[in-house]
Amino acid sequence: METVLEVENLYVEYRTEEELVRAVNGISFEVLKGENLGLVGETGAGKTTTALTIMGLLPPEVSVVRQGRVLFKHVDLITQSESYLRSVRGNGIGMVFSDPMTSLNPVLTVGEQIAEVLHLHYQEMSSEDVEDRVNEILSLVGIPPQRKNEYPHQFSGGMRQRVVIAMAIVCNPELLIADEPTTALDVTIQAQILDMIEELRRKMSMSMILISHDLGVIAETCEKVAVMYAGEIVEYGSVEHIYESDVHHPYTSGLFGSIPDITKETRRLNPIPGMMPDPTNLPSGCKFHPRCPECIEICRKVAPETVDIDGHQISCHLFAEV
Amino acid sequence: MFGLCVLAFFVFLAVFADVLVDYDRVIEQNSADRLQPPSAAHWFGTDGYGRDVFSRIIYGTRVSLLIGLTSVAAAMLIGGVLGAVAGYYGGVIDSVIMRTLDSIMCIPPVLLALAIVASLGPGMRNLLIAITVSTVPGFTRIVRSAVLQVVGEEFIEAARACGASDATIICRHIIPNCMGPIIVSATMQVGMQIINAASLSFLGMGVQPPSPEWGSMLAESREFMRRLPLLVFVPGCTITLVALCLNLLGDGLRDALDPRLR
Repeated sequence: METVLEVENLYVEYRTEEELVRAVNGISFEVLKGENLGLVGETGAGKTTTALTIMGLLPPEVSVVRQGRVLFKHVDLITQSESYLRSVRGNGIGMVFSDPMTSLNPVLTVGEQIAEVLHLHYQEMSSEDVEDRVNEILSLVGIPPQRKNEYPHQFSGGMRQRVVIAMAIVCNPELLIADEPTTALDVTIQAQILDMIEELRRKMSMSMILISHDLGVIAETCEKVAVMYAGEIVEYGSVEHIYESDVHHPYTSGLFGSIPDITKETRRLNPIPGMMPDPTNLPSGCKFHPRCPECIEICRKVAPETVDIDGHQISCHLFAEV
Repeated sequence: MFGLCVLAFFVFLAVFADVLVDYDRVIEQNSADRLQPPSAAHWFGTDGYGRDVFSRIIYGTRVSLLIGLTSVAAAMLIGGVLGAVAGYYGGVIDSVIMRTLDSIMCIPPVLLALAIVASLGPGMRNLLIAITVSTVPGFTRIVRSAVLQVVGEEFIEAARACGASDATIICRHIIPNCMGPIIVSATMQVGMQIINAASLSFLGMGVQPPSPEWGSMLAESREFMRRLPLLVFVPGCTITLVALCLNLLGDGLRDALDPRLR
């Protein structure tokens, strides 16, 4: 199948006068056409930085892509000019932000905001065609088109997120990046929005990167899953590999272990001990070793190689001999 | 509301000055009628040259409001662009623009305006240039601070993620979200500008006689203050009233536009 996005050995750093934050440390993955990749990890694992790097939206004053390539339809976005990136954003790659309360402009009607995206990418489109497309996309995301002349404050959170999604997909992008699209919504709305995204994705045969810290959300929607820790992908595989296999990176096991079991009485949750390492001062060897219950001598000194077990990739010394 | 009504009245006077009074009465000198007290023919009396004060006040409205509005519009345009650019791009551009304007701000505005008029020569156009230049720094600061508040919002990032260019983002997303504070300060500034223009005219650097302007009317009637205090009182009160109303209007607008006060 055709590859839409390929990230190769990507390193991203934030540099300030005092410190160097190593946010993304050598990640590689690819997204095939129509495929849905889930990126899971704790806050600060580098998920959003990865998304912003793909979009070319890293804050230019402080961030540096030290190494690596981001190939979108075989063009390296890292080396492209700003005007090329502008033509890709919204058109080739759409992005949905986490908080629908702040990601819409309060002084423009929702119709105007959706139409703006079309105007940006299709200057020659007539205003009737734009109008038709806005109506079409609004009904697609489940908003009555007659509400297009209303302002964002007249919509509820879930409805606003639908508008945000409409803005992201109005130009039929090949790739949709959804950065925690349901974090700011309540649980019932979350399910609706996820179902809708999934339906749209199938209908428009879009690829998608779904960023979340919610393992349940990922399990429900994604085909491939990448578990991120301290700017690295520690485990990568199909959703069956991650959710049903017995072999896991200790971090992934820890994540699953911290979810309470619905069938047993649990008095306390089982968190992974310790904190995410300080990205300005990452530990040597395996970055997870200070928190790892199965840490062995070599983990402290040498960064683990990635082991591939039938497409299920784990970066851990425990599996080195397998 | 009071401010709006009175201002509407003054705008009406300014627009229909031609219909209400004959311009001849404004400039016609008549030594026989000098320094008349108020009467049916001359409601506010006559000045030192025998001109009808009432007619001059009405024509003066046109001059003063025109000065106030044009200079604020110009300052808003220049300050708006500078402030938006400084706030949006930040860094070196911001520093260069703001430090240059800071150095202009160090000079007292009246002194700066006086210096500009003195070097360019007195007259309506140069008066406008002078008071505009002296208000641009203040405007730029207000616009910049408003832009800084909006620029960090997520919808700006979202617009960028949709492929919008810097110019589109500034014009479509940032400026409309900053309109509240800009409109409020502009309204209040109109009053300040009228006072500034009047002070410059009072000092002889503004509108030249025989054109009626409230400041120059004040200056001309200064020598007759003891014989006919009304001559000073009328233009002085008019200036005060208009400036007060503009401030009231500005306050009202701020209350109406600021969602936190609602």
